[in-house]
Amino acid sequence: MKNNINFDKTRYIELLKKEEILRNEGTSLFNENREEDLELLSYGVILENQIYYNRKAEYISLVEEYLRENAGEDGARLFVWEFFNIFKKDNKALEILEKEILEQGIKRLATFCIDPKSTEFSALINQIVGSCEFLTFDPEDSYGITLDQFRDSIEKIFFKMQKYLDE
Amino acid sequence: MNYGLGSPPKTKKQKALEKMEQELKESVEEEDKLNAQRKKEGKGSITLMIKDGIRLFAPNEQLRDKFHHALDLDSPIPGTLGDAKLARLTDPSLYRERLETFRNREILPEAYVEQYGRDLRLHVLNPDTKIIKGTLGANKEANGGPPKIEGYHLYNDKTGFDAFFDKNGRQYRTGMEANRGQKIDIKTNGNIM
Repeated sequence: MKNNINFDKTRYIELLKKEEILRNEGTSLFNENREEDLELLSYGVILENQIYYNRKAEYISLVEEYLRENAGEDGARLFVWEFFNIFKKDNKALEILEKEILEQGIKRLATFCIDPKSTEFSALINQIVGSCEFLTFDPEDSYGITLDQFRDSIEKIFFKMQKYLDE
Repeated sequence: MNYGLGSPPKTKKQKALEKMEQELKESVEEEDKLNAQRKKEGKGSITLMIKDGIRLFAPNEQLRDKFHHALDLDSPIPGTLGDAKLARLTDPSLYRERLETFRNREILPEAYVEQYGRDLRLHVLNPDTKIIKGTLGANKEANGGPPKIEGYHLYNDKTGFDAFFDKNGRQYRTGMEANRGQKIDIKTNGNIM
């Protein structure tokens, strides 16, 4: 996701702590202060983008394999399953990272580097999520995209992803 | 504090849990009748959820197609689809073997799909799950994708899980634990993807 916020690590940790305190009191930043909730989420997006980017080789290899094997409906189902398997692990990795930041403070972020290219790469990952969610095998489903449209969309994303291979 | 002969007033939380119990009971009773009728008509089963008087439907076929999100609701996964089994097959040379695993329709028994439906219902009826009118796929449409779908998000900020039902048939389209970017989208413009 595109993010225009500068990464103020001190403020991020301050909001993380505030959120933790509120959660322990049975409420949340979302309930108490919407602006701060969005600010905290925006910092989270910066880390989230980098986590996806760190695993770029695996994502690209999965996409490449799907396109190369050209295995129809079963291939698409397998791709969707394996893609979300990785994607969800990355989302979980952010939760773990935030717990570590809460425990260790700013020094945990000292070794976590943010590459500016991660924002654009993450946008492509989110596009794959959208394509997977709209894929339908039901010919009567007027909302979804067909297998051919799905493959086309993944192919277009793959072309954009390739430039990250050597980086 | 003395409440005389009466019982103490119910807390907000108690009232919410009682409402959930009532909605769960209504949903299950009506679902049983609906599925008995569908069986006679040769149709597949459906999960019904009634929240705030709104009826929402999740056909088993759709739940099966979205089973890759079942873990987000802590629903059980068959061993054949578990990490250990699939990890053994992640080597690129074993692609055909992985594909064969998926080709077998028995890989995902109906009982798992039904449990996923029941877990989805618990998410929907959870007092912390809010109904947000919105869309699915507005970002995708803006990028040249198919038209966005109007409908309802059933979003729980405590768990982060969001389920989306279309407006017309109030049918389940998808549901997953939102990532940070998706949470911002849901909260600011009622859209996901």
